[in-house]
Amino acid sequence: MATRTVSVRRPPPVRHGWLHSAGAILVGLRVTSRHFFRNLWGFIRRKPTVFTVQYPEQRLEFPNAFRGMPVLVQMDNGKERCVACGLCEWACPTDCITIFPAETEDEIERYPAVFDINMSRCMYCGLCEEACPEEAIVMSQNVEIAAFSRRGTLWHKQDLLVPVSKLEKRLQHMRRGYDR
Amino acid sequence: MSDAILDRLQQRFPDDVLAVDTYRGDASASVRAERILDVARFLKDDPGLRFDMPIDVTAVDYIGQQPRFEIVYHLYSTTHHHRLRLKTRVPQDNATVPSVTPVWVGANWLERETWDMYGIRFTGHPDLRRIYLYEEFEGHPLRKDYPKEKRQPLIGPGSRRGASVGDEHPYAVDLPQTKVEGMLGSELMRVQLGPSHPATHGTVRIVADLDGETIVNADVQVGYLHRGFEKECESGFYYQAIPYTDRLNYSSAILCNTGYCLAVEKLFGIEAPPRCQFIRVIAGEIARMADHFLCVGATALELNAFTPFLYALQARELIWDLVDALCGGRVTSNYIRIGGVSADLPAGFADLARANIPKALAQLDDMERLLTENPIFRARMEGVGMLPASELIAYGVCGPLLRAAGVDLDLRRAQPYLVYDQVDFDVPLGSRGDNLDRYLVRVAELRQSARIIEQCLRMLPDGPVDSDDPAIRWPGKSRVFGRMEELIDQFKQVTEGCKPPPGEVYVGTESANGEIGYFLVSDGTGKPYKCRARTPSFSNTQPLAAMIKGRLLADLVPTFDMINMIGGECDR
Repeated sequence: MATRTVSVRRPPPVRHGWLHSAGAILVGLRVTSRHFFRNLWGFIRRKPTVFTVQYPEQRLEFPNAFRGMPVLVQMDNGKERCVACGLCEWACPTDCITIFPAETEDEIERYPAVFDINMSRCMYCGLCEEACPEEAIVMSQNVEIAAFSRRGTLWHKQDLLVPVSKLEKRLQHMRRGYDR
Repeated sequence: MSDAILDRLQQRFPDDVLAVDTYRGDASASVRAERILDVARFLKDDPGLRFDMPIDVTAVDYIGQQPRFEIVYHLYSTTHHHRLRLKTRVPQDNATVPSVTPVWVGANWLERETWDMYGIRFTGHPDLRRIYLYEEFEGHPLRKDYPKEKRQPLIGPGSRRGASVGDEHPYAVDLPQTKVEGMLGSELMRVQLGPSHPATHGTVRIVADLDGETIVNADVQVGYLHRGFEKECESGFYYQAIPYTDRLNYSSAILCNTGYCLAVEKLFGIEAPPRCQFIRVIAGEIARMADHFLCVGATALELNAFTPFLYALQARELIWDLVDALCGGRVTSNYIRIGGVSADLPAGFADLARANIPKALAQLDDMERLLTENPIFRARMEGVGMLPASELIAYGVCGPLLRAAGVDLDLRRAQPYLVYDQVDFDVPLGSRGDNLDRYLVRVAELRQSARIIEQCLRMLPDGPVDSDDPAIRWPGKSRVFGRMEELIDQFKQVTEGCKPPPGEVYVGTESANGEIGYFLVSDGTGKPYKCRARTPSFSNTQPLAAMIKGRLLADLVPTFDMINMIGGECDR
């Protein structure tokens, strides 16, 4: 164990008087004006150093790992990949997913007749995605889900379907991260 | 070591110690309820034991057993750095036990919480009010026979809304009208600060009686963010509690995740693979930096220094970019898993960390230039909020607050977990224990965290990040897609949860504000029978009233800020 204890160095006592007070103001101004001129210089050179992002005109790019709202993967034939096994429903700590399974004559014969996510309950934990054995529900990069009514926060299957081509980043992350 | 403690206790109280036991390295002793005060006194005063810090008081409801309730005390010794779990049983029809507040003053709020949640009365307690819930609340919610869905008179349909909350209200406090030497002696004025106040970055209500501008007496009321963390954890599988632990301390969520997962792993008796442990340390220290930045920045803001706050938030944003790249969430990380982490470090993470952390530390330098030598900041911080170290320990205060008072207690050093024994870092200590020391300790810890991260990135070994035990960690996805056994494992794991063997463990880890500890009781099923979070904000907020008593009202703000109470963590 190479840890040791050190005492923090307390700064010398404050000296009073108008000269010292003026000095303190100048010290502060030096720091803030350095920031100001650096930002100004960045503005003149058109290489902004300002940290603020002017949302919604400017948007940040999210990393691959980003967990936005959960969506359903839509295969190339327009159908969902979900087989309504219900694992995401089990895993969800807040019970925000509702699934009613049904059957078809297709090759994948089970599908969800109803797949609702109550986005006012969802807490973006991503456990549904980790539980899914089919890569059918994934966390998208969509975070703009505000609604004007409570009813508007209930997302149905048709709203949740996103083509697989738009989810490549996340699927890559999952294949890398969740594989062991 | 734990055997020596238990032997000593049994020798002294041969008739009152009913059972002793050591499980997974945790020493625990059951004693007779009526002798608990004598045992507590002995444990505190005996030179070989010196259990001077009350870590936690809680209860477990063994419904259907006789006696029904078990009250559990967790104790820590700051001199010997050992732990003890003290247990005592009380029946349902006479659920009373002597209060241990005469021995450890910090047991006060903890016992109030136990009364609130389990309905166990502590005789001799100075002020046994409910702490989280309101007085009209019917029942005690953590009892096993209290249904989760139950609605209360003041909420839900048909509630008695509009009940006025004034001074006549039952939970308006009755503060003692003491006169303090050297004060004006005028008529006291009552000031209600909070529960929502711009100068308190947390929902807390402080009722203060003022004589002039001096605080004569104060009552700190917490619970405005109570949302039943423990009840919620008990009703879900082990893995489902991990996102809830994010919401304890939402400025350093990964540290809360880590503590919980370590506790479940201890129940199983396993350790995560080495690479995983390094990743947990890296992630945890990143979270610690984010927390300290917020604390220092918000303190500056509430002392009217707006620029350092913006610098701090910018630095925290750089730190959060790392958390974001790591686990996809900035505040609610949900990163650590039982037996592993949710995903390995992303490609290029080390470069990103090496680029962002120096930038954040450069912001810290600027903040320090603005704050440390500034006469106004110093005047508000210096000599304010002090309590003697022994009193802080008796309150159960931990973390930077205690280290600022010169007590060398950092669990990363005192009881190393993960790979903290392999890295080189300093534990900064203060000398006077005032707010300035607390600020300086936090600033110094920020730099130490950066050091730890750099070392771990260099030492990071290759290998698996997750435990390969299918009974603990969910199987890898490609195998779930391709093979029947793993698919079945996945279904079993999700629908039944991992099932630790029956037993109880406590794990304390050093979070940004102090010791965050999880006390888990397993009954062998996939859901925790009891999941208790011992949180630093709760124990650190408790002495606030003592710290500000006799000081000016303006001193309340920096003291409260430096305590860094996080509502989610304090109120659970």
